[in-house]
Amino acid sequence: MLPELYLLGSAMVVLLLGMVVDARWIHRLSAISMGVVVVLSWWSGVAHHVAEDVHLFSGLVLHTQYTCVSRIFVGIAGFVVSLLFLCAKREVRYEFSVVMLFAALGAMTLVQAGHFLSLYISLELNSLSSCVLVCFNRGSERASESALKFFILSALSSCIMLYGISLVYGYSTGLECGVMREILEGRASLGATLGCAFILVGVLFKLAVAPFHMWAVDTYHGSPMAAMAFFFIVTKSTAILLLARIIGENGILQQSILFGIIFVSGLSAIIGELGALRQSNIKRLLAYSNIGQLGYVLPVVALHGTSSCVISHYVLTSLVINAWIFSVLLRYDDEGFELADLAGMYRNNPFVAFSLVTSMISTAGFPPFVGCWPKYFLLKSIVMSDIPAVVAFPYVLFACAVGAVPCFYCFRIARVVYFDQPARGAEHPALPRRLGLTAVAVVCTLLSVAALFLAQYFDILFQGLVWVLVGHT
Amino acid sequence: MFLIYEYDIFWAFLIISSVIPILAFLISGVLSPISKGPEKLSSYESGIEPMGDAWLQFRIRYYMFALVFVVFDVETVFLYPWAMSFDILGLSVFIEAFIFVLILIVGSVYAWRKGALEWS
Repeated sequence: MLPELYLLGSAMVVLLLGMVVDARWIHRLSAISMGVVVVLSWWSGVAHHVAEDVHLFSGLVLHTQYTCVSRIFVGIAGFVVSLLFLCAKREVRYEFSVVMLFAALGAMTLVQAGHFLSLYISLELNSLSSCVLVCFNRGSERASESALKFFILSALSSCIMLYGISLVYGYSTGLECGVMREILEGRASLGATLGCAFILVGVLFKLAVAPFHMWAVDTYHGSPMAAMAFFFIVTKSTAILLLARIIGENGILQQSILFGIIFVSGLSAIIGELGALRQSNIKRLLAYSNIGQLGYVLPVVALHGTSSCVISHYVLTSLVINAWIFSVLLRYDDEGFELADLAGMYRNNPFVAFSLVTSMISTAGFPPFVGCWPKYFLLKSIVMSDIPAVVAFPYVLFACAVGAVPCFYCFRIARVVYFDQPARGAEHPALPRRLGLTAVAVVCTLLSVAALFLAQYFDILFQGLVWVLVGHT
Repeated sequence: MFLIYEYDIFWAFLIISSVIPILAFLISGVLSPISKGPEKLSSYESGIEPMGDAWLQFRIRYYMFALVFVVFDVETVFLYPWAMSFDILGLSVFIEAFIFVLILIVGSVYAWRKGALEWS
């Protein structure tokens, strides 16, 4: 619990300190604080290494190898977002970093929640802090609209999740997350299964999975660029790691829940990828693309969960790719840009143009860019799981077919950046020089080149990584 | 008396507390003299003709005070059970309650310094 205590303490200290100190120091302090949290989670994972699962605080917090590793991943994600925000040199009030620290605290406690109470409280801490991050621009109408949509819909989904928790509690013995095991294996009554479905609705809402994705596009459009980076990098990986533990850890899934998850992931893939085709604003395009990527991830989360390293591979790779994308996007102001405005970008900003094009094509999963490896491993693990082949093969073929669609809009970006002539004779303006964002982009480029060669050995490397992070496996 | 006997007191309380407002409205509706007229239907402004706009600008200070009040009232509610069993719980619970109050004091200092409690 030491990293979370440190994060809470430093968030409160920085909150009070910001009233006397300049805002830039607060942003630096909160980035340093997130870095210290990563180091502390590593130390805590190694120092308190346990061979079997430990339940702290009578079940509220789970201390297993998986949660220690997830905690470090979430800490790294929070640190990357803080670093990106620091390097972007935005002129915002200092409370932005503080609220980001609180949201990261909610995310860290969410991945190790073993009880529905701590699950719900962490989820609410994360949601409410994210809501404050979305509406941080007080003068922007679009930000207020996005924050209102996000707040109302997340309150609604929290209510549904609470109803599900109460149903599960009514039909079983307690409120620990372990009571889901019977329900997910199909040995519980209809009421408990309904409650379990409602709880899944609440968590899938955070992930912006298809029937519950309505808030995502408008919220990302209106929020500040750094808040969108926070959603993409931290909240998404937290929700995926949490789902993998809640659903996938329990072994065999009941057929109806499994097919339900496959259905919503197929729906996400269609809605996300086809919806991104029509968008011209980069923020909405990325939002839809994010929804579409869940079509690959969710079935593997449901089928394999914590037992394979494919989910971790996806989480780490998407962290790198999103950091890369936002190292470009954070140079623009909060409205984002229209695709047509990108024409002729390579003349004034060649490295930024290269970063944008390469990172977008990595999102599409086009080989040999780095995004192709997670997609390949995810689809391969769907095929090699034990659901009946009559479901697996059509779904994988469908996912491959829909997976060709992101290549369209990503290559459209490449064409506009490199080949289109700027309209009205106006050149693309030179973007402000941000050395930190360039450094992040360079690091992401090197990591993706390394990942190209090392991805096929990822399972061995991941074993080594877990050994480094939490001691002996 | 009712279906689940442990809940008898609850049902009695619920029925009595529902009957009292209903009775209040019914009795006043029956006993009060009703006289309608155009003067009764116009809006009241201390006996004079209403002047100006009926819409007032919403003053944010009411909302700020209500918000801060709700937060610290919920904190107080959380402190009541601790206060009731304070003597049989040990030192560690005292320190935990102290940390809880400290977190809320940080929020209160922030709200105070940022001017959430300004009335003017």
